[in-house]
Order: sequence, then structure tokens, then C-alpha cells
Amino acid sequence: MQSVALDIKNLRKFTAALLKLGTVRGPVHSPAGVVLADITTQSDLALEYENFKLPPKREFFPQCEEITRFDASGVREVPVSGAADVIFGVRPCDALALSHLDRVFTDDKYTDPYYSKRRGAALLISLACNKSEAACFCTSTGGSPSSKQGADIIGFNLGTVLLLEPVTARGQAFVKKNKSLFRDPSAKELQKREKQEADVAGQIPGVAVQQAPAALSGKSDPAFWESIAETCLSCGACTFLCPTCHCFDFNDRTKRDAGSRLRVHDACMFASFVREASGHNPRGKKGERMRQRVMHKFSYAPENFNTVFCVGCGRCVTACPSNIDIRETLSKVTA
Amino acid sequence: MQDAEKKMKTAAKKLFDDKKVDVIVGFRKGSRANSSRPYFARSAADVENLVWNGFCTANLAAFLPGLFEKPARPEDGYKPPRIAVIAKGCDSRSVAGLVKENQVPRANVIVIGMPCNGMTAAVKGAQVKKDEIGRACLECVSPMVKDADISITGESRKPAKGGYARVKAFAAKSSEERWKAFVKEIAKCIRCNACREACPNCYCKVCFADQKKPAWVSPANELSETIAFHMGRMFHQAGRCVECDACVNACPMGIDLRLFTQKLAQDAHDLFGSVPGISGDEAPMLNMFKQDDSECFITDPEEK
Amino acid sequence: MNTAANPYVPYKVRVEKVTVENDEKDLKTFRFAFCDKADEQKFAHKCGQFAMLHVAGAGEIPIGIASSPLDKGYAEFTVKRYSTGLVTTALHDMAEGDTMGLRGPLGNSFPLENLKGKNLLIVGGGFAFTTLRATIRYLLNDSVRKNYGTITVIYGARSPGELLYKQELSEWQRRSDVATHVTVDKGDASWKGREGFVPAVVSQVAPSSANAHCIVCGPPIMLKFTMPPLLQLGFTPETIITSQERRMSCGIGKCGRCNIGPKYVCKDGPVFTYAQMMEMEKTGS
Ligand SMILES: Cc1cc2nc3c(=O)[nH]c(=O)nc-3n(C[C@H](O)[C@H](O)[C@H](O)COP(=O)(O)OP(=O)(O)OC[C@H]3O[C@@H](n4cnc5c(N)ncnc54)[C@H](O)[C@@H]3O)c2cc1C
Ligand code: SF4
Ligand code: SF4
Ligand code: SF4
Ligand code: SF4
Ligand code: FES
Repeated sequence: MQSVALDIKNLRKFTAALLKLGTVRGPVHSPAGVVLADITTQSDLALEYENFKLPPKREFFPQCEEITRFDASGVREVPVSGAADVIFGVRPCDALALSHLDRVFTDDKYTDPYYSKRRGAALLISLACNKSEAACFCTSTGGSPSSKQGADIIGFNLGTVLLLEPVTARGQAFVKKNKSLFRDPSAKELQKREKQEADVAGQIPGVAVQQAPAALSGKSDPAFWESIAETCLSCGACTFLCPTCHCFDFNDRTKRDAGSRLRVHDACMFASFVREASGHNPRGKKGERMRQRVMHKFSYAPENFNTVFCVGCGRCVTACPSNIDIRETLSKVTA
Repeated sequence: MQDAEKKMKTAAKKLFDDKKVDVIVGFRKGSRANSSRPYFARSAADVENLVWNGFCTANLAAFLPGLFEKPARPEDGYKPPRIAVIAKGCDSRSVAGLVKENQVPRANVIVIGMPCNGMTAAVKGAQVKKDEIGRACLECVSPMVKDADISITGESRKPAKGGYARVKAFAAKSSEERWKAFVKEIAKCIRCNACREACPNCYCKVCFADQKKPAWVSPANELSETIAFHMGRMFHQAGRCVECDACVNACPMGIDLRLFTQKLAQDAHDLFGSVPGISGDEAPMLNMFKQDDSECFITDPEEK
Repeated sequence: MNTAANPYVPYKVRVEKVTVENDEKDLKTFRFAFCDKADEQKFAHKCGQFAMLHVAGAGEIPIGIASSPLDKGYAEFTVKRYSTGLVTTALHDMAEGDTMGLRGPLGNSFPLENLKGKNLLIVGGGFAFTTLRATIRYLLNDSVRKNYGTITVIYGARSPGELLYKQELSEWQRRSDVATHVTVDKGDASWKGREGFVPAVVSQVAPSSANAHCIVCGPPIMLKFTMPPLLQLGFTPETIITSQERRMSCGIGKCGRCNIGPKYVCKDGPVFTYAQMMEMEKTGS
């Protein structure tokens, strides 16, 4: 769709327009780095930042949420809370990840009300990347530093101008409604955007992602997976930080005769993830768990959803305490 | 440093050539800028991959209980492996602790003691800056490897005085302030368990935090549960933590767990004279009762 | 407030009847009645499906539905208690009159519609017999029986005291429209029936595979050893139908826990053909 230009000097007015929609969450600098946080005044919005350490999936699928409450009279649904009306500044990889999660949480039979209500509530404005980080490989996973999938509007920070391109009808409607804030971009600005897109994408090294699904179907040798997973700690760093991981468990919390049921993130890398009451564990070995994680993202998801469930954000690469690098794993798989 | 790496490789290769080990737990080059990562060398050919430099941060003793673990499926067979560990001072103290706690058969371990100049903090992963020695190393009281079976010589750090100044300053605050600071730090936790899994002392087959019946803490990252998890884990470290910062370096959220485990380490030292992995051959501090043991932590926790 | 929109909210049910099934007393059959009659309609299930049983405070577990779709007014489940298991223990402590939660029916079912006119071999071992019991009850209903050819049932347990549904077994054994072979690994003084493991009995009974399908459920080890004799009899990986178990949290394909390879046991299963099973196990565990 047709882009519009917002002069940065009008950023406050733009923020005010967002705030009119309700709760706005966006990038804010904090001592722990940039975080997605409530924007309360018009001046908080940051435009220069590397990606958030924690994936924005948590806005829609919090690590821990109360889904039902129970007492002697039965179980009652807990209404969805904490939904933001606008989420600004999500990076394109993470927006793409949300479009993958959309398909998990809503399928032909069941809709997860908690995720889908929050997702439906928020106008998602992503912000294209002006530079890449060391571990990024989005261009190999079907995305790019300016991919639009998953967002309603994508923004391009050109320094003195923020270009905004509506992606969905909803994004279009917002732009239309606030057209007094915007002007048409100049040809030069459009060129600058294009160059910036190409430059950033060009910085990002390629990883053997697209070849992975076919190669993985033959990788059933346990020794191969044990060798990849040897130094794996079976922690949750890679999956908890991954923007596409969606595994969860339920947990009942009781106080006297009443209580609530919590939904909590879980991870296939934990040794206990599929351990059964009898003691039997279908994935008792590190290699079996590593295989699950890699296969889910690069083989099962392509089979079920026709796309890899990795957007190349690099978080797992950066966070793994043992530096087990998914990029290297993929090149071993496809070697 | 390069010299030490060369000598280490020669020794490692000899171990394989002499058929003395099945696996050498060491480091290889990392995939991130300025990084090394844990590596299991399983043959003389693998020795080429071993490195020794300023980024060998992880505490390798953490891998030993797993390597000695009997397979869950008996058909896989079991013969305890012979393992060599490329050890810094802290790794060697952890090995000693694991031996003391009967998790590791000392006879099957060859400690290759390295001269340690201090390691880079790994907290920020890819963003680690060169030459930024971690707090654990700056404060390390024992850079020298304990009970090495093979000693690689070279220049190494002088023992420091420990980080107790920071602990003392913290302890001097009011209990409300301390609690607030503790909660603020812990609130960042995402319950990924990386700290626990990276810790050589956290070898329990079923961690108290994973038990379901009874469930001591839930895996939910609700603040109260997270606090309970960390309190539980930290208290299990009293008299055992070697202050290596394995947990701190593993934590993706950059949480300063050190301040709290160190307080316990200091108490273990001040009240019971225990310096884990160094002080004597007696039983682990928490397994031992002496007539004159201090009880002030019960009777008067604010004073000593 | 049971909105169809929220698949995580269970129906409220009342424990109507608890039957201790075995000598070890770790297998109980629970009969639930729906507190809201309207929920019973919504729970209309098919043979082979499962449901999530929620004991407030303890948690929720997947359990196969043991009653027939034609059993009206209630739903039955047979549950094994694990001493280490939180929910199964809490469930076994439930008494008649207590209320709890039930979510479902979930998963796919045995393809009985497509098997009309076929001969059926039903093989079960241990307490995995539950959904097979639902199936047999259903098939033996007067309105249904005529749609199928011969029906052969082979069911085994460790010992006579561990056999489930003893009353019904003897009823079936008295009927002429179903051949019921009950076996135990090891009999006792009073046992007059067959002795031997299920795979061996399959070979002995040797039902014809002509125009036939086999539905087989049991512990993994039994399944492993029952496949060769079935294949020998001429059943094929496509005509052997089985049901799988995996740990589950959501039961609706969201929580990512129950997959074997690319298939989710809760959503794509629990019923798979042996051919599908082999395919799934090629790419995951
Ligand atoms: C489709 C299906 C049908 C089943 N049908 C029956 C049945 O008819 N009768 C019966 O007795 N059992 C059945 N099971 C197994 C039953 O779900 C487990 O025995 C039960 O969950 C154990 O719960 P617990 O409270 O003892 O374990 P806990 O230790 O408290 O459970 C921990 C978690 O593990 C899960 N879990 C543990 N073991 C299993 C397992 N074997 N399968 C699935 N989840 C497990 C629990 O749901 C829970 O979330 C079935 C499982 C599946 C998947
Ligand atoms: S697998 Fe790693 S790189 Fe891929 S989306 Fe997840 S965290 Fe990012
Ligand atoms: S199965 Fe593993 S890799 Fe897949 S979504 Fe769940 S945690 Fe992530
Ligand atoms: S972050 Fe690394 S060590 Fe932790 S589970 Fe993932 S791969 Fe294993
Ligand atoms: S490593 Fe950090 S985030 Fe993970 S559980 Fe430990 S303290 Fe929490
Ligand atoms: S039980 Fe949640 S995906 Fe199957």
C-alpha cells in the first residue's frame, strides 16, 4: 500500500494519536536495555535500538497467566486482561513470528481465546531494522529486515522522517484517519528507504534454512543428535527467548477451597517435558530433545504450516550458555 | 596463554595416545565474537579443536555428573568413563566438591590444571567486550588449580581478597532495602533454569523446583514462586558455591545472582570456616555438625 | 459459564459411581453425570476419543472415554493411579457425589463408519483396554451390530485379578455374535481360562484378515510384539489401527507437548494406523 511520511518533529503528535487508541506499548530504553513498555507520555518512544531481549510474543502469550478460577461451585473463565491497543516498534522478524503463532493459536477447530483476543486488540506497527545484529539471519528464514508479514503497518526510520506503510486494512484505516499528521513521501525518501532495505539485508549472512526441511527428514541417527546436544544444559534459554516457541503447561494454584489455573510457558528442552507418570520418558536424552526442537522448527512446522518456525532473530544464538548455535546445527544438517 | 594452550594440547593428545581417557572436557572456539564454549574431545584428532584463551568462562565441572550418569535404559550398558577436565581454579574446586558429595569418582577424573588469568564475563553473549574480566575472576581467591593431575604451567592471576566488600555494603543496608533490592533483581527472572543447569552443584536428578508431589514451587514466573525458587536454590549453595559465576554467565537476563550466593559463601566462611573445594577433606559443611557451630543465623540473623 | 469459545473451560460433572476394577486397587472406573444436562449433548463423543479430567488444585489429565456413545446420561473413564502421580492420586480419592471438571471430547476416533461391512479384530492389553471397551459396547448394540461382519476380541492382563470389566467380559463370552478370548500372563488356582501373552494368543486364535481390520491398544511393549503376528495373519500396516499416548496439557494442538514427529497425538490422533505410526516415528520421538 501507499506509504506516508511522518516528520520526526511530529513524533509527539503521532504518539498522541496512538494514545487515543488506548494502551500503547513501545520501545523504551531502560537500564537493562530496550524493553517493550507502556508509553504514557508523548515523548517516551525510542526509535533507535537493537531488538528487544525478550520476544514480543509475551505481549499476547504471557509467560504466566491466569486462565480460569475455580471453587466449590465450579470453574469459571478469567476474562482476558492486559491487552494493548497498540504495539509499536516490534522488529520485522518478531512480527513474522507472530503470524506463525496466529496459525497455532487459531486453527480450523479451536481458537485460543487468550492469545487471539490480545492479538486482535492490538494495532501492530513494526519498525524495519536500520542495522543488523551479529546473530541475525532473517533473510534465510523467509523474512527480511523489512518484511511486513504479521504487522498492520511497517515503519522505516530515515532519520528525520518516519515512513509508514500500511500492510493491512486496519493499518490503512489508521493512516487514513490521521492523515493530517502525514504527508506524501518524496521520491528521494522512497529511494533512501529502498537503499536502506537493501543495505541492511545485504549485511546479513546466509544460513542453510531452506534446505533444512528436506535434509532433516533423513537425519534420524541418534548419534548425530547426541553430538549436537553434547554440551546442552537442557535449560529453557533458547526456547523461552524464541519468538515462535509456544509450548505451555497448566498449573493449578490453590488457596484453601478456591484457586486458579495458570498457563505457564514450558520448553521441550527441559528433561521433564514429556516425562510420564510411569517414569517413561520418550525424550530422555539430550539428543532426542535437541532433535525435537530443531525438527519442530525446520521439519514439522514446514510440514504442518508450510513455513519454518524460525525467523532468524538470533536470540537463541546469543542466549545459549553453551553457545550451541542453530546456524551451525543447520549447516551440519544440510552438509 | 598461547603457550599454555600448546602445552595443554600436547598433554591432551598424550592422554588419548596412551589410552588413558575416553573424553576430555574442555573448550573450543565459540561461534560468537570473542567467545569459547564447552567442548568434549573424544579422540586425538579432536584435540586440535581445543582452545585456551580468555573466554573459557563456563565451569566445566557442571558436565561431570551428566557424563557419569548411568543411562536410564539399561540396555545401553554402563561403564564409568575416564574423563579429563581442562580446569581453572574454580572448576577444580567444583570437582573437589563433587567428589566430596559422591557425585564423581575421583579415580576416573584427570584434572588438567591450567594457569588462569581470569575470564571474560559472558553475560551479554555476543556483546562481550574484549579484556573485560568478569567479577568472579577479579574477586577470585583461588586461581590456582587444586589437586591437578597434570599441571600446565604459565602466568596466572594472583589470588584476590574476595568480593566481600560489596557483600558487606549490601549487608549493611536495612532489611527492607535488602529485600527490595533482592526482589528487584529476581523479578527479571524468566525461570529458564539456565543458572541451575550451568551450576556444578545443581546436579540433583529431580530438583526441588521440579517436584510435583509435593510441589514446593510452581514453574510459573509469578514473583512469589520465582523468589521461592531462587531462595531454595541459593540456600542449597551455602558452603558449596565456589563463586565461579557459572550461573551469572548462563543467565540470559543478566541477573546479579552473585551478590546473594556470595553472601552465603561469606557466611559459610565466617561462621563455619568453610571455603568449598579448598578447606580440608572433612565432609561437606551442611553434612557436618560441630559442638561449637555458630547458631547466630537462627538466633540473631542481623548480627554475628 | 461454559462458552464454546473457550476450549480450556471444563464441564462440571459429578462422580456418580466408582468401581474398583482390580485386586491391586489402582484401577478405578469413574462414572460421571453432567451437572448441566445441556452439557451432555455437547459431549457427544465417538469411540476412541479422550477427554481431559480436571481435579481442581491437582491438575488435568487425558483419559480415554470408556463408555459407549450410546450409553446415555453418563460418561465413564477407567483410570490407573500412579503413587507418584498428582492427578491420578487425587482422582482416586474422589468419592461419589464429588464434583470435578471434564473437557472434551477430544481427538479423532476409531474409523468405525468406514469399517461398516468389515470383519473386526479387537486386541487389547492391560488398562489400555478402556477405549476398546467403549468400542465393543458400541458395536454390540442391537442397532449397530448388524452393520459389521464377524467381531473377534482378544484381551489380556497380567493376572486374573487385573482384568478390567470382568462382568462384561463374561457377558460377551456368552454371546454368539462376538468371539471373546480372554487371557492372562499367569493364572491362579481359580483361573480356568487361557494363559499366555497377547501376541501368542493372536497367533493361536488366528482370525482371518480377509475383509478385516484390526484395532489394537496396549502398552508399547505389547504393541511391539503383537505387530509381527498380525502382519503374518495378513493384516497390513493400513488395516492395523492403534491408539497412542503422550503427555498432554492442552489437548487441542496448541501446547506443543504431545507430538510424535509432525503429528500431535491430541489433535491428529490419538488414533493412527500402524502405517502412520511408523512414519511418525521415523522423524521423531
Ligand atoms: C489419549 C490418552 C488416553 C489415555 N487414557 C487413559 C486411560 O483410559 N486410563 C488411564 O489410566 N490412563 C490413560 N492415559 C494416561 C494418563 O493420562 C496418565 O497416566 C496420567 O496423565 C498420569 O497422571 P498423574 O496424575 O498420575 O501424573 P502426574 O505425575 O501428576 O502428571 C504429570 C503430568 O504428566 C502427564 N502424564 C503423565 N503420564 C502420562 C501418560 N502416560 N500419558 C499422558 N500424560 C501423562 C499428566 O497429564 C500431567 O500433566 C491416557 C493418556 C492419553 C494421552
Ligand atoms: S530458533 Fe532462534 S533464531 Fe530462530 S526464531 Fe527462535 S530464537 Fe530466533
Ligand atoms: S516443541 Fe520446543 S521448539 Fe517447538 S515450540 Fe515447543 S519449545 Fe519451541
Ligand atoms: S539454550 Fe543452549 S544449553 Fe540451554 S537448552 Fe537451549 S541449546 Fe541447550
Ligand atoms: S538463568 Fe536467570 S532467568 Fe534463567 S532461571 Fe536463572 S536467574 Fe532466572
Ligand atoms: S496436548 Fe497440547 S498440543 Fe497436544
